[in-house]
Amino acid sequence: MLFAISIGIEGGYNIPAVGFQNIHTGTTVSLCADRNMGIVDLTLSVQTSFLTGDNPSYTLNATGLRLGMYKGNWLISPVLAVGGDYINRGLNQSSETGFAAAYTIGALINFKINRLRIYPKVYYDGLTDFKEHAGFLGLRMGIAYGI
Amino acid sequence: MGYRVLLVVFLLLVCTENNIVQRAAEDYFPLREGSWWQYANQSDTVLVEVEPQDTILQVPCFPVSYNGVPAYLVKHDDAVSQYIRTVYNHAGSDHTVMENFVVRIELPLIEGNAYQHLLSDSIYVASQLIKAVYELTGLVVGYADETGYGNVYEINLTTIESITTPDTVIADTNEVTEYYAPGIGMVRFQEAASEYHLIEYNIP
Repeated sequence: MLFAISIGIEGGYNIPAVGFQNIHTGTTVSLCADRNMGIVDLTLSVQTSFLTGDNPSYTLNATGLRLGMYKGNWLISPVLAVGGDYINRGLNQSSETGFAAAYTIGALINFKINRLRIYPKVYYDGLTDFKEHAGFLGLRMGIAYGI
Repeated sequence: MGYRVLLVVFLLLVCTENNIVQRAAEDYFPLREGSWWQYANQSDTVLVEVEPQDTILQVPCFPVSYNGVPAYLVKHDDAVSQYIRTVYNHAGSDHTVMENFVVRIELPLIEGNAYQHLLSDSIYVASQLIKAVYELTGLVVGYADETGYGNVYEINLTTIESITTPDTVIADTNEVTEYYAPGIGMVRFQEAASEYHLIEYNIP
């Protein structure tokens, strides 16, 4: 069954894959609204990632918007998303901020129970300022409810 | 309308000098054996070379030669530290008053980060107490976009090294400003009235 609109929440775990040599691990939470557009399902999400450094005093936060797409009626679906993040990195009492373009490439498995959709997702979450790119490998669990 | 917003965001990102991903992802201290950097001012050159790894005080570190004068550096997750040894000469023989590693630059680099690290120790030489203190104060002043390098950090380092004997206090203060570029390391430094610029480098 396809849902016209659904809302959901995702949570997961990130590890650095490209660049970010000072980052250890991180967690991500996102709130999303999905809409079936016929061929694909579009997702608009707000997500925030909190990452801790190899130096325990170092943290990196990335919060932003993603516009993505997936196939809700496939058991295994590719996931693509693009957006932007506001990044804050801090050490001790100091911090600096900036913006970056963001993209997500991955796959998810759809499990449906009536209006409920539960989906584990593996992905690569990339960030770029168009001078350098870096990114994380992540594993998330999502749950969405069709309205 | 949506496309225009995306275009503006894209242009802002492309045109900005604040490349936070570069600063967060790149290595500003490529401390690897065989690396070298050559600097020059109007009348002089300085060659900095990373020599094969050595072990001091059971800490694996890299001897880094500054025109032949070695400094021993070790890079950890949270800092680049330097080996410091203070020697007191008495009656023609040297006595080590203090030796240890002290943080030189805290990592990762973040604008505004200020820190202070201190070493101190004392020994008795000929029944006289000799005390040594090494104090390092660092400040990551900020970053600026430099053509060819990207976001370059400016770091001010002030060191005060002193030896206190029952009769005298000998203190030596040194101030240096260093500039670090992503993937390259130090690209410029100012010491006293002299400024050295990177003219050539090799990082294996």
